[in-house]
Amino acid sequence: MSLDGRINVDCLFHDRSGSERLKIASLRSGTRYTSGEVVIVTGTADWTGGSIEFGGYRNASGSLVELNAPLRLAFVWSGSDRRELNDIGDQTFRLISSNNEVALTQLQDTEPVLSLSSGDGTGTYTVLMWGPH
Amino acid sequence: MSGSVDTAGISFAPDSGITYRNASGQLVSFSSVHALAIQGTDLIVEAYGYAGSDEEPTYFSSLYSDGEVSVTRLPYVALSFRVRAANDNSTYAIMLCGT
Repeated sequence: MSLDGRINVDCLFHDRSGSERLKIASLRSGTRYTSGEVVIVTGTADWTGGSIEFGGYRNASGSLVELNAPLRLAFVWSGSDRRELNDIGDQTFRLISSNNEVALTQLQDTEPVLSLSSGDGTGTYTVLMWGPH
Repeated sequence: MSGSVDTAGISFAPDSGITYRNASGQLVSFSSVHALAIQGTDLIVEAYGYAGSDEEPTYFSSLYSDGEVSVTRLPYVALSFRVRAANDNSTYAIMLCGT
């Protein structure tokens, strides 16, 4: 069993004033992961939302994955109306996505308790988490 | 914008509290912020604003960063952002995108 993955974020804007001045606004980070474990869950939701569970996810070896202290979390919602992914545990983060735009946060060494908000329309959600062994 | 904060944190408004100047040298302000990206050390950033017909500003979103970039879109019109250290002191960099 081995793992090889990456999470790259590249926010880059060239802010020009005619041809005279250029300011660059940039935030970027890129990390390759060659150890640890990853879980991913995808599902559909109507307007009601609800809790998101990872309990049954199995890795490539067929073993159940348990992430006790995940450190990265990514969330995508396919619908055009936004949805919120809330942690209702100790960390209380909230990510917002629509139109398949990825929202991403680091985590504070505790397992989140995830809840998808209610909202207009139906769509597909995907949540991915990585953590060390 | 970038700097350092402690656990008490700082707050700023997107329509008046931003110190960043664009390439023309003008202070930037937003009528609406669509996306938030942060990068810091042990850093929490929270966004607040009016949702629909709410009379009081409500909690929109929060992100955590400890070296990596964290990013989310935002709903409605954000009225304020709170930047604070999770435990001790933090450095922060914040990027807002909007109109």
